[in-house]
Amino acid sequence: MEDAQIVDLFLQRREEAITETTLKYGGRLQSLAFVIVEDGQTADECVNDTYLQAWNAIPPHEPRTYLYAFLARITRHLALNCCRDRSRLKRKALITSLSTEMEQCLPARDDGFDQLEEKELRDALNRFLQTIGRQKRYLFIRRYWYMDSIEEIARQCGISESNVKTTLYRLRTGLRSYLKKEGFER
Amino acid sequence: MNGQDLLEIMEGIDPQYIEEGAKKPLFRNKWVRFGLIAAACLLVGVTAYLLGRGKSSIPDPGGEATVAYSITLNDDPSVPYFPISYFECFRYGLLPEGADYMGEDNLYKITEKDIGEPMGIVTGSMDPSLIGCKVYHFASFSEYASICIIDTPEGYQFFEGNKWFKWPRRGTAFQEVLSKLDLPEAIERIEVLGPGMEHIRDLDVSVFEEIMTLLGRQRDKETTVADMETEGECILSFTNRQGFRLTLDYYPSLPCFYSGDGFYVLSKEDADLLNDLLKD
Repeated sequence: MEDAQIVDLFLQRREEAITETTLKYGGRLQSLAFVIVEDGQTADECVNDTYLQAWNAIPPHEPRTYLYAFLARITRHLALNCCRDRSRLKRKALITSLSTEMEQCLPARDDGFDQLEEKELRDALNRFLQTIGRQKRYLFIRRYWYMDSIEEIARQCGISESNVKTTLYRLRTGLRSYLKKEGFER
Repeated sequence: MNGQDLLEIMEGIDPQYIEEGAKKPLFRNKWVRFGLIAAACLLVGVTAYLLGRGKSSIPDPGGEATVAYSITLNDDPSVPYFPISYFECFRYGLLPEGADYMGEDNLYKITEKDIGEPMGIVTGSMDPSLIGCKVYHFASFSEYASICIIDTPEGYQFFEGNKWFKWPRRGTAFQEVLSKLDLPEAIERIEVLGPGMEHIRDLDVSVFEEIMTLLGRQRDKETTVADMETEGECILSFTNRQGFRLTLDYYPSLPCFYSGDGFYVLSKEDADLLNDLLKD
């Protein structure tokens, strides 16, 4: 079923919307959540919560042309929240590792950035992503949005791990320079 | 704001990028845009250097000095062609494996079956006897313009083209060199060669951009390294679809490059990254 049709089902408040969404995107959402939480049961809970949040959010949202992105964003958010809760006991290695990598993108740390609105930074991120080529963007998104491992990205793309690592390193330094140029500096 | 915050802010990026990330792009066959203007004059063809080096190590079978002139063709006068060099012969299988010189007795003999489609005629040469001679593709490499056969008064002769005969002005003309070779779009092969141009391994063409980035981050030209002992020297060769190639000497133990107009030093960090890329 097309995304627009599924969204129509949501808008009509018909429960088939959930069935069709599960059929079409359930597996991918489960994989996305699992990569982050590394626990099948928690991942399932995240996906189920995703459906509930989507049910509540459509309407007013009508993501006819970006349904997967819409759902995946909710799943990612929920999964990260799970990690944050669990990290009170033990910080999750993946998130720590990715956070360390992302830290390199920030031209200034700590309070210098606290005053900035998130929206401005998000807009700058979008503009940066627009300036890089599609393949580079793919690597960046897979690593920092879908949180795939380097090995997994290399396998998917048919390129070496060192190539992935080098490209990501360049992208991080590139983003850092870009943010600096955009005035995100103390 | 810390790295984790930024990771969470990523959540709100444009949905089109999330959708895009859900679909796998072609990595082996399609090239992303190449934005490496800063790589500047590093990639200057080392061809002239290699030619010079080659001549000094090859015994002269005839014992007589000869002068070879470059020629140009009517279809692209900007590309000079030279009589084929010892090193380039191995690329096209014109010398037996392991041959340590190039002479009449061991050089491939051109016959009619080697004559491919016409490429044009010689319109420029210091040797007037070559003007007007017909030029043909080498049938075994019919898609390549980097090698041709010229019907000279002395018989058929191989010539090789060199698209980057003139060193680009440092820091400004590198893009021009790349565009002459239609790089990065037309990249066909990246090879790591030994100091004697012997093939060591092929690299995935997708690393071209990373290599160019690293080359672009070299420090100022450094001449003192020229006298230092090196270890692990190799040559990077970048071939485009027409067979034209750029070659670049790399000295990982220094670490630096030789790029025709001098040595260029890399930072340790960049050298480590490059060494990673050049591995098997």
